[in-house]
Amino acid sequence: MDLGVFFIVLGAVLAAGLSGMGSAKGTSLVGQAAAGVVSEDPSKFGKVLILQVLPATQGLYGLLIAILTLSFTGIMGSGNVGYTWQQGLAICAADLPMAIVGYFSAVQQAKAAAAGVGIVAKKPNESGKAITFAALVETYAILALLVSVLALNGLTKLFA
Amino acid sequence: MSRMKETDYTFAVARIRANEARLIGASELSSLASAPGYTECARRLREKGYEIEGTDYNAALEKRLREMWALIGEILPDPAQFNSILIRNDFHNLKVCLKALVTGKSPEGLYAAPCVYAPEEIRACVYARDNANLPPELQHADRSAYRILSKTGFAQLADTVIDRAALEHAIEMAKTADHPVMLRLAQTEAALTGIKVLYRCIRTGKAKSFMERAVCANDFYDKADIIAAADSGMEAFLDHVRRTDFAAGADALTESTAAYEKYADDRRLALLSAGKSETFGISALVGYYFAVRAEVLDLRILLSGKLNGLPDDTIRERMRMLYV
Repeated sequence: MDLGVFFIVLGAVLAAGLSGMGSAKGTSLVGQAAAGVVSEDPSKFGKVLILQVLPATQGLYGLLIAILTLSFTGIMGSGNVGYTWQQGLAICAADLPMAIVGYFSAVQQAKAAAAGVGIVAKKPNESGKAITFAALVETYAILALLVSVLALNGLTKLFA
Repeated sequence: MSRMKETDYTFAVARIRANEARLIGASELSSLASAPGYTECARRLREKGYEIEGTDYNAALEKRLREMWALIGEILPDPAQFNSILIRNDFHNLKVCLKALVTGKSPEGLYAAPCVYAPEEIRACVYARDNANLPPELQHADRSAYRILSKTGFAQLADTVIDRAALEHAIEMAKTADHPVMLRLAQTEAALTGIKVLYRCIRTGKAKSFMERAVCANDFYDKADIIAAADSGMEAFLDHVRRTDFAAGADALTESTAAYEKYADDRRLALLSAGKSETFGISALVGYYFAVRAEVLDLRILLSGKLNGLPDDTIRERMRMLYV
């Protein structure tokens, strides 16, 4: 296996791995807060579940980038993987926005969502505001996803 | 004591938030104070879950405090993190046991709860004069207070020695708890108590040496300076307090000791109000602990006032600030 393929796979693994780690950490944190509220008032399950799901999306974005990376470069599919190590490294770099922003935005979004769980616990009618506060953090995960997709698309076309 | 991360309290804080929704708010309390008579007040409180039967409201209030501690004890990731707050009750229990030993009366029904050590253990050691088997924090205070009581019978000095030791140990334990709110609380408690003790010392004409034994050093004021001011008389003392962070406390003292007690309770609760917006960490739990205590104290003032036919305004004046 040449070094170009190694860097491409490394990028895909980082995108899926780091984003997944962030989401796992985030959903766990909000899950603990949600469990605290539900143990006192089970009727709030639906509202806190929405908040727990929010930091899970980064993991999915990371998975999407990993699949796109492996698919665009032919590692998954055509088998045409003739990339130099410099080209492989550039594709790996394209995956990094999603990997890094995915991890940190999931953790930070979880903190906002856990705070939102507190709002739901005390003022269930204000749950929409709690969701909005946490959902805004998602913006940066989406921007990172967009950058990674555009960079991947551009680079694979350039190296074709 | 294990080192805790702020996020270790996530589950506990969420449960506390759910329980905070059941606390009595300021407007609700004001409405209770306007209720026509004790019976109506008790009826409204029964709707809030207080099981008040007839004119005996104490059992219902005590039950509320027990339930609060049962909840906090259940959800605290490490119960030792609360020791700096609870240890003062252990020192109170030591005081009760020592007095019971000297006077020959039973200490039953006088113990404070919740506490770090079982009162029965303290009682057994005190009665057997088995100082070595007392919890380490209590040993020195026990030796000193027992010596004073057995040799001079000066109960007030013995109380003072125990109270100061309680404050000092609370500060030491708060330092090891590694939660800034615990240390702030312990330091504030020491400062507020020091001012109250010195005020009483001046009123009763106590010597400077007594003041030195009674006051616990803290971060808010210099112990030597405030004792020197207290030794110069009430005016100098109050002027000195006005230059500290407790200026409003000096004004409360000029009114009455009851006004100062109210000021101290409100000050303690104001310190914890930041915990209302924290999602992680122990602050929310400490806040809830004092919130329920403040609620119970207010209800005690309210119900006793209503039962004794006090005017609504007088009842309101005596009520403490609420957490919610």
